[in-house]
Amino acid sequence: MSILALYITDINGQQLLEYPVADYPPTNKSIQVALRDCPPDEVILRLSPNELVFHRKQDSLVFLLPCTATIPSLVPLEFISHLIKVLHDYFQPPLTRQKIEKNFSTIMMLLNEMIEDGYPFVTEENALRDLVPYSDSISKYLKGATSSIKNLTSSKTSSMQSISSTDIGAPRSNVPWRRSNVKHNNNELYVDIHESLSVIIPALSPAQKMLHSLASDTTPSASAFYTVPSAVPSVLPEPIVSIAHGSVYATTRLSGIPDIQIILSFGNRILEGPAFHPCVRLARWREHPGTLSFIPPDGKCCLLQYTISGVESGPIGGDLKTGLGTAKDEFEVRIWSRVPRNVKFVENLRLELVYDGDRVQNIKGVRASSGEFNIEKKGTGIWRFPGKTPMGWSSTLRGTMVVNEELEPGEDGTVQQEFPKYIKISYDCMGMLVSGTKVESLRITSGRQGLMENAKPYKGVKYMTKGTDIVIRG
Amino acid sequence: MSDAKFFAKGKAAELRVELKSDKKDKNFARRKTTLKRIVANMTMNNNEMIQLFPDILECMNVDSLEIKKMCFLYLINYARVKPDLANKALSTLLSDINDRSPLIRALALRTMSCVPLGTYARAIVEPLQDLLRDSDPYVRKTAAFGVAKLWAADPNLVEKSGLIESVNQLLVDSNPTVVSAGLAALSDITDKSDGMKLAIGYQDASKLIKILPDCNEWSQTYILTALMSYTPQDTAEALLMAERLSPRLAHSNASVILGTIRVMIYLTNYISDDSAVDMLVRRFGPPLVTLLSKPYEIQYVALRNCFLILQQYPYILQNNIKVFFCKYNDPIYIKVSKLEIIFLLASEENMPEILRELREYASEIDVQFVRKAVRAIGKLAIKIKGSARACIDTLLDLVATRVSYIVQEATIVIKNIFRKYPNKYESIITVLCKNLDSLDEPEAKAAMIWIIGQYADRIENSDEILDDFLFTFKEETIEVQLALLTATVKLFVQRPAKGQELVLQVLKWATEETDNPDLRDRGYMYWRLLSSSSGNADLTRQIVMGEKPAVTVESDKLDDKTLEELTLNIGSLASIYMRPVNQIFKGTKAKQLEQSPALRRAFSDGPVMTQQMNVTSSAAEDGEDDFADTGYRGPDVFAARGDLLSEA
Repeated sequence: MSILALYITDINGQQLLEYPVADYPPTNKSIQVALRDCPPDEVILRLSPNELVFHRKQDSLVFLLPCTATIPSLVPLEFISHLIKVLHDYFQPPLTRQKIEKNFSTIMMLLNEMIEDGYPFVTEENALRDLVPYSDSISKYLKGATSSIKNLTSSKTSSMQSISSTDIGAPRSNVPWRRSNVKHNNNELYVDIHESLSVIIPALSPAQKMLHSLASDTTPSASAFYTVPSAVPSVLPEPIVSIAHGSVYATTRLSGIPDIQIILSFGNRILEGPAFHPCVRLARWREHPGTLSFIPPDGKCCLLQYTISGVESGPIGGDLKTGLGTAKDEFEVRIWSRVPRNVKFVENLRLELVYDGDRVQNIKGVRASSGEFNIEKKGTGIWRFPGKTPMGWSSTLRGTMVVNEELEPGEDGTVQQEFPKYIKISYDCMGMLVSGTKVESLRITSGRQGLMENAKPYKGVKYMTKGTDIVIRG
Repeated sequence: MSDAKFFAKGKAAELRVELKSDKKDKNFARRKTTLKRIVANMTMNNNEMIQLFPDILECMNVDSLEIKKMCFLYLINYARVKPDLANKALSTLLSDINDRSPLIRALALRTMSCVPLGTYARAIVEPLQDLLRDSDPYVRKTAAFGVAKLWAADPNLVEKSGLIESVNQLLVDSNPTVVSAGLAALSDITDKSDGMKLAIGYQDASKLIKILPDCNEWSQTYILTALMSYTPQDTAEALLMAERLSPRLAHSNASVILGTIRVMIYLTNYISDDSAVDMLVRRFGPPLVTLLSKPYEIQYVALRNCFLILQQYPYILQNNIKVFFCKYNDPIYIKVSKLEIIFLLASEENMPEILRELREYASEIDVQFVRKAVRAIGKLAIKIKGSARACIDTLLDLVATRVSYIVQEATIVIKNIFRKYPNKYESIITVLCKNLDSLDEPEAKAAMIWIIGQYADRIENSDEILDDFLFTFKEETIEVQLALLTATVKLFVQRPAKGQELVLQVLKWATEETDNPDLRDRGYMYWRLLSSSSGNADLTRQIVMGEKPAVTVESDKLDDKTLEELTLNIGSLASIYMRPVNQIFKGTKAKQLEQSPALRRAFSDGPVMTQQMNVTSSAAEDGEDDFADTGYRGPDVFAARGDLLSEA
């Protein structure tokens, strides 16, 4: 059960980096040949009865990890995830061919620590920072970066110190996930909670459809008359699935070895399968659910991931109506924002209109009351609302799908009219969590010796709900 | 500081000049940069770099960790090509092994165990004994892996040296990382070895579980794998271990979660109390759901293993079926895996919800998935009798869309529904007959033809419909031709007057004008049957229209033994392919449940047990139970039960 080698290639399979682990591992060339012959959705490639290749595309690169066949499949897959995280931490996303080539020797040294005897070993960013110093960025930042110089310099000074200390071989930290000798001039502690919302809303029932079509037929293109129409329709189908996947991140820049306690409240919701960072004391959580007690790694880490199902469907809603207009060939998409507490706007709002690209040639007569609509690829049109979108707002898009002329007509001599199949909405909403989760308290309980007596560390909490996958079926 | 330009023209001579330059080199910055260029060139397989070996040997003595690291990378890479030069580095490495910095000691040790030369292997054996007892845990763990690597290169050398016993001592180390490294090294050796076997007793297992939370995630996966070598002796013991493991289900690393589930399911084989097992396995639900928010590749592995676990314990997620509903933008392999789980969890209670969902999938854009959804509806009609009517109504609703591939797929599954419930839903034949023109795929045609033949007496114009199909007889695939032959005979048997002309025509084609032996054989068989028994129509009818074995969808279900074997391999490739281990991993022995007073089995399998007995009594490697009384422990002492982690 072991990793045989690691290859990083570009999208076309051209090798950028080779890191052999076993004596004679399968070559990238042989893997590329096998990849070409395998179905595109084969997650695990079987190279030979005793060799597998795990692969993942990331940014513009492909990571290939040939392994012996008996390895538990999630070990290499998780390892690739960790490797990508580490490379992002060292070289900032997105990863590119240039970044790999530029940092060859650093990556080689990283891999040397990350894989031991053919098995993943050290993958914690903090531990790696101790083992593989990376100084390239210092000079760059000193020349003058524009944003948040304060943060960068404070963290870089400490990494400089750790470089010199490792070079003379000082003992390493006793807390495996924390760098040794952490010192910061500005002490800060931020908690960010992100929830990504995933919703499936079914199509309107026939009765609901009728109600809607009556309303639109009597007042054609209502949106042209009312600049702020009464947004939310009275009848809406209940979502089939509505799940929030939450992640609690801590970004700490604190000197010494601080001990932190965060108390979260989840309302009356049930957390499904919470997953914790190794630094979190599980016993404390079990005694007091919602209490995260831990010594943090320096920098950013994900303390807790959770799932809550049955949440509200979020601040943005939408619906899709078909068979409108005199020829019954028009569709109408509406999108609106509700008015939740504490939120003034959402950002990066966009709506994807998905249709059968083989049957639909074009969309004609597109009228959008706001935003920009473009067909971006076969079968997908995107309706964008750049910048901030206020709450209590709505917008409408109407149009007709032009059916491909080459399609064979049905029995009645006409080709069936096409309509959008789904709409998918996505957005970022700062300042709220859709599940109602809150940070009740945030304390540094001990380990403040490293801080100066009167230096109060800066603390902050931020919430964000990301509507990632809000699918409305047509 | 960019490495990019290093590829340009990394002339060896030019690099040598840079390395040897007398200019001031503050903090070795210049040499570091040059070495980076050399390493970059080396990785790009620029063989010119071999010439620099002597210069690298000189650099190796510089007192900088970064420079040493790069020189050692070079050494490992080119040692095989230039063994003589590589041997000159031995003295440097042997002195670094005694450096006061633990990082340098560990680095030198690791480098020595990686250089593929016998001289290095022999030189490291003695220092390894000391390094395994080093004051620094980082060095001790590196030494443990060093022994495993050395063993892989030269097993005899290691076994004679007593190093394995010393690694065994690491298992009582105060540092959890060192313990897990020791265990990893031993597992690695025993995995590859024929004569040695890892055995873990109660005390050992208990200690491993205790240190588990303090180990890093990868060590945890290693320990979880090793725990499969522990055989509980009674229910209470197994239950206690499973209880203590269950907090690991809350780890953020997916392989730790799945590894924990594997060990816990393994332990349930030794727990006699059903309600306790029930309580344990119910804890798997939430973590499995959480895995569905990970990257698609991980989701896929999680879904396949979910399918496996749910076969045995469907109730874990029966009320949570919605988490497996597909989004249009899921990749096809995720959709198909989810669909299989939905099918598995279907019951009469959740059927309305499931049918609505499947009906939705049947209108998606991806044809491959649409077909699978339609097929699933048909199979559900067969699987759950009480919901057959609702499934059929949904199918008819789909047929009404007149989309060719939907109609064809529906026809195929309706044929099976007729076979499962004869004489029950024939009213829908009329609907199918309206859509004959949509059929252009052999499987769908053959299915429709079977329906016409089977119900020839109830379909008003069955002779005309068959005649239409027969028009293209000679162009059809063999599958369709065989169906046509049989259907025509059935028509004749049921309605002799209407079928007589057709049957003569078809038999003539089948016996005289075809090159296909199967078709000809079947043609002759019918010919003789019809001509010999012409006086006894009832007998002919009995043979031609005879009852067929009932169709089931249970053939998809794994048998108990395979299921047991696969659950012992949760997370491996076998669990993803759902195929027995020995088919997936050639030459690997399948993990079997070890005998113990507490072992329970949901099924009886005499042959397997005896086979296992044979194996254990003939091979020493399995022998710790059978040979316990005689005191025989096999060739290596550390395998003895209870000794592995005994107190120092």
